[in-house]
Amino acid sequence: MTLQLIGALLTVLVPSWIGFQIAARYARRPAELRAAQNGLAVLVTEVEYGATPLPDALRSAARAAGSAIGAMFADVAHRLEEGGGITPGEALTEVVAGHRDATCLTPGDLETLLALAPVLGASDRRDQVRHLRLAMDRLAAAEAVAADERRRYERMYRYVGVLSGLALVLILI
Amino acid sequence: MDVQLLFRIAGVGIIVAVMATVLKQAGKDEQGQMVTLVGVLVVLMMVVSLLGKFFNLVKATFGMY
Repeated sequence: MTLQLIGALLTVLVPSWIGFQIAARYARRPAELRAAQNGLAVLVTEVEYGATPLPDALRSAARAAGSAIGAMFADVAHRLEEGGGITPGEALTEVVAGHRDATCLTPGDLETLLALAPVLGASDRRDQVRHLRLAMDRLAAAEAVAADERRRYERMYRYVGVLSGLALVLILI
Repeated sequence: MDVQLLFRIAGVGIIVAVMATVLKQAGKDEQGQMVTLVGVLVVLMMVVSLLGKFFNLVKATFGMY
């Protein structure tokens, strides 16, 4: 009887946990998109007015972005400082591929960041700023969509997780 | 035994109804219908042996062999 109770509890908890995890991803995506925009905004300022060396500019962008996205910027800066003849574009491509699972961004969002790879630190100031602003606009559009999805699906996945656990218990008991 | 089965079916019904409503509210109407269908099938699986027993009883009662 006790064993059955423990099993039933686990059967409820596991799908609930999965549901909450999926809901948390929906909740984190708009925040991460906003963080990426903040980082890019700092990067625009550094490139446009400061003409800071790229690793330093990326470090201050990382501080502005924070958390998972900030870690991406910091990682690009780290790879550039390590040297080894790597271009900023290559570093960005590697980092985006490496951090793919650490963030809640969709492949489309990451594609927006990857579109910066050919221009970052490889063209004149005006062109870089133009591309950075374009990326920010695209991220802002993605953020609006992500916020709408969050509003619709966050609660749904929680409910569905808990309820499917309960249904499973009822069917199996 | 029989009452337990009734309660179980009622529970599945409530949960399926709530889940379908939640899914419909989130704009996933098709998944909601799918959940309802699965609920019906699950309850049917629970009841099917009893239905068989019932038909056998009817046959036996009216002597239809």
